[in-house]
Amino acid sequence: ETLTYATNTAPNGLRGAAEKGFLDALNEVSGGEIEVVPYWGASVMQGDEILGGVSNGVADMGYININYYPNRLLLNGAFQLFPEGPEDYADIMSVYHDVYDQVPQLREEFSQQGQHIIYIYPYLPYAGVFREPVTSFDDFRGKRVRASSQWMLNLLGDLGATPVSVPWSDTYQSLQSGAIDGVFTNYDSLNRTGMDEVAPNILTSRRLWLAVPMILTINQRKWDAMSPQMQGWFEQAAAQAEKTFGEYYDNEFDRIVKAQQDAGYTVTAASDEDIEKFVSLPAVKSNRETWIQSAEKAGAEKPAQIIERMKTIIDAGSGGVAHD
Amino acid sequence: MTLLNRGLAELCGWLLIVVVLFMVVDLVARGFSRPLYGVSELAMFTMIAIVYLGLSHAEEQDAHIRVEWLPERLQGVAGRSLNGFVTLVSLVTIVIVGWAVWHNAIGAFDSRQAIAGPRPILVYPIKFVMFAALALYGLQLCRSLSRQFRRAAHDE
Amino acid sequence: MDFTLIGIGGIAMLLLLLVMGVPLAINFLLVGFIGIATLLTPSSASSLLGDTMYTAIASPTFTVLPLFVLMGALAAASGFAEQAYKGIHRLAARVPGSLAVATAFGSAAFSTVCGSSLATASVFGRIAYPEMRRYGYDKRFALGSIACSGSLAAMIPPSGMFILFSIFTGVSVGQLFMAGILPGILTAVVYTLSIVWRAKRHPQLAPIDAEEREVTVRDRVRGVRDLWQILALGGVVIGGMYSGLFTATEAGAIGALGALLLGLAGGPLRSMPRLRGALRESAGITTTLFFIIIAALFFSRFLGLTRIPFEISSFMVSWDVPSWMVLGLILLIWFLMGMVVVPAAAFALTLPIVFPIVVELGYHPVWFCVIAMKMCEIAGVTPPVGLNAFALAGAAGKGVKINEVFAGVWPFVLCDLIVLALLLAFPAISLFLPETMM
Ligand code: NA
Ligand code: NA
Repeated sequence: ETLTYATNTAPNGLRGAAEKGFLDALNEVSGGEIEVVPYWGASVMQGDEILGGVSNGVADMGYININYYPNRLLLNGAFQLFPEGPEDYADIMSVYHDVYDQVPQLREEFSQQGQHIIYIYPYLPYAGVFREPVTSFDDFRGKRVRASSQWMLNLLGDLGATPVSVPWSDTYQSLQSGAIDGVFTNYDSLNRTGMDEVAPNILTSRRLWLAVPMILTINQRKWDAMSPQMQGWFEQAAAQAEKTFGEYYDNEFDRIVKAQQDAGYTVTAASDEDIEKFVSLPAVKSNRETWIQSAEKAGAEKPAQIIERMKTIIDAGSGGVAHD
Repeated sequence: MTLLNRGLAELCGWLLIVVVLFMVVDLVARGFSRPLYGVSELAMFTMIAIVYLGLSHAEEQDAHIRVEWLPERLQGVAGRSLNGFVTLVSLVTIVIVGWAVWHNAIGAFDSRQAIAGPRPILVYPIKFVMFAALALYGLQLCRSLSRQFRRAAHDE
Repeated sequence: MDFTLIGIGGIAMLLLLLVMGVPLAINFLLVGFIGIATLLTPSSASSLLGDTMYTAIASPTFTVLPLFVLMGALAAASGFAEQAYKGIHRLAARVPGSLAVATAFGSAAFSTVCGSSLATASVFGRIAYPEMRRYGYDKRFALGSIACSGSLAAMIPPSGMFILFSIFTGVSVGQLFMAGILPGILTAVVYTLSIVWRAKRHPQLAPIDAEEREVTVRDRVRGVRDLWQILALGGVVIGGMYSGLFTATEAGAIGALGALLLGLAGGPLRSMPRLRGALRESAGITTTLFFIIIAALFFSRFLGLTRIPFEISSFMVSWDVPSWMVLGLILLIWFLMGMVVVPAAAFALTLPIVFPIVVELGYHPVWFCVIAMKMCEIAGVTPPVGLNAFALAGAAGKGVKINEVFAGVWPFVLCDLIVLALLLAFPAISLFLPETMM
């Protein structure tokens, strides 16, 4: 059977490795029975169209970034309310699996959109690149920093930074010319686009996980029509790809740090007490309250309980240290 | 109808100035470290409105870009039939597009589709504007078609 | 039904309706819809269509385009575009084709702030075209020079297309921006040589009038003075962006505001009908141009769904032939694809597949991206789908037909091919700056 897959990434880099790895594994474990035609690089749908596209059959499978659908995947968006999480790939993945197994509302939200989750992978942690030396979160004060998620912008505001939302295509140039002072997003993107060349002061830490999981889904009807054997191939492929990608993922953070240091950039690991401060900013609490309010308004049942459960799982996965 | 088209075209022109002002305000606000949320999104919505609201006027003015090589070379009945065919094809297409946008707008309304940003901004209003503009474009095409028919009947 | 067959049928239908005079946007939308409905289902096609009509332009990146169009229209209505060309005409009197040369370098200068070929072609279509015609330039010659010079915006940084390439290939934006500078300048120089040579051989392309023959040195100096307004505006926009006062998108707003203020101060725009005319005109260009952009993107998505680009690229890279032949084939396919789909889509469909192979064959990634960009520039002006040409036909006014633009671009496409050959033969042109500066 031939299936189509829509994504907005190219088949290279961290995301390419994860997604191509899964598609290849699917072909392999099915002994060539399942063949996938990928539409890489938003060639058929942009990132924010894929959720609708998979449910309407434009593509059979797709990459879903929860952040692109603030209301449609509102409950899944709760991940962003947890700025600190596990450091190791295995721990991150087990948090993701536990959350999706123990908080049924999250999978439910995907079925409402007519799709079924087939694979999950994590991004690299958050990092900031700055034109001027930045070695702690205190140095964010007064700087114009670009971020994209509403929750992160609130945190940056608490740090005394001026959160700005420049279009992604303008970001490199703006950083180079000084129209903005820094960018705070995932470590992989910052390095791949070369933002660190023009803003060589980097602050990061593995503890600053980018909480939102990257999700691959398949059209629900397509899934329901499959034989148990085929469905089994998807599960095997996910397990196999998860293992392969783990090795890549574990090396990638250190590889970027080393590449940046070799290039003469300043890479600072955020100190423990710095991270402590970051995760206990008032916005962490107010973000959760805002989220609970909007979830209640959208008709979700007991959203506060979802947060509680996710918190328990994430704290356990991060080594059991409870904050705030 | 002609007045409406012209009025909308005029409005679109002034909306461009509004976009300029939005962006300048955004720029100045950032300079003072007081960023305004949603201004660039508002500019973007305004621009989408400009694009769609002008469609009907552009049709009336025959300003939509096309290759005029063959239509210029056909005279009489053949030329008129070709023009009629082109208008009909346009009408059918716009009905399909209008239908698709209508459904998309309803879906955006039901699912509260929003742009991710500091505050999620709902997108259904602009999608309904798009639909209304396409409907107007469709009406304008009907008008052109009936005018072409009447002229053909008159010439017979 | 076979996917490839549907794709070929779609392209044939597109060409047929094109010749019949169906507006381009309508044509793309209809053929794309019928094609996708056949490939998938009518309801999937309608869903993707409804989405595309919004998402194709719902990006802050696109906001800059109408702003620069507005800047061009205001500059034309204020009369300082006319004055500037008068100045250049006087300054460069007796130089064959001087106004076309000025347009090429004007576009190159404008490209240092604007990353969009469409915006550049629109701005110069509005500013330069009427002036070139005023001095008796041949219509096609003028149009061809503007359409092709517009594509410099993508090669000279900043460039939206290079950012796209960076995302696809993982090569840093900075390296690509550096790499584009010399090829961009080279292109402008080759255009200049071709313009001067052609104007000399065929004086009817760019007539030298009697007045020009009597220009004194003092007249030439006076010509420089006519340029002050356009230089001031350019200075503010370029200077403001490079000093970090504003972003590239905001540069469009500042440019439009600047043109408005200069026009108000100078007087012409204090006339309400004149200002309203310029505003209406900008909105009209925005409408027709964006409608085509949206529709062309939808059609490109249809081609993507036919899997033709995927099949061709996969076949090509699995083919056991010498590496230069693989490269040659890739270029040929891009050239052909560039004729029918928008550049961004052509690369989104093929680059992910061919790029890793090209790198494996030992070609330099940065160099390959510059080559791809050159192909992209060519794709923007070649018929039947040349967005730059559409933008220009829309901006230059009612008297300009799209076929006339296409008729005018071929000599410049030939120049592009010469530059392409130079870039292929001497990778250092692309690699010198990124390797020494970074
Ligand atoms: Na540029
Ligand atoms: Na083309």
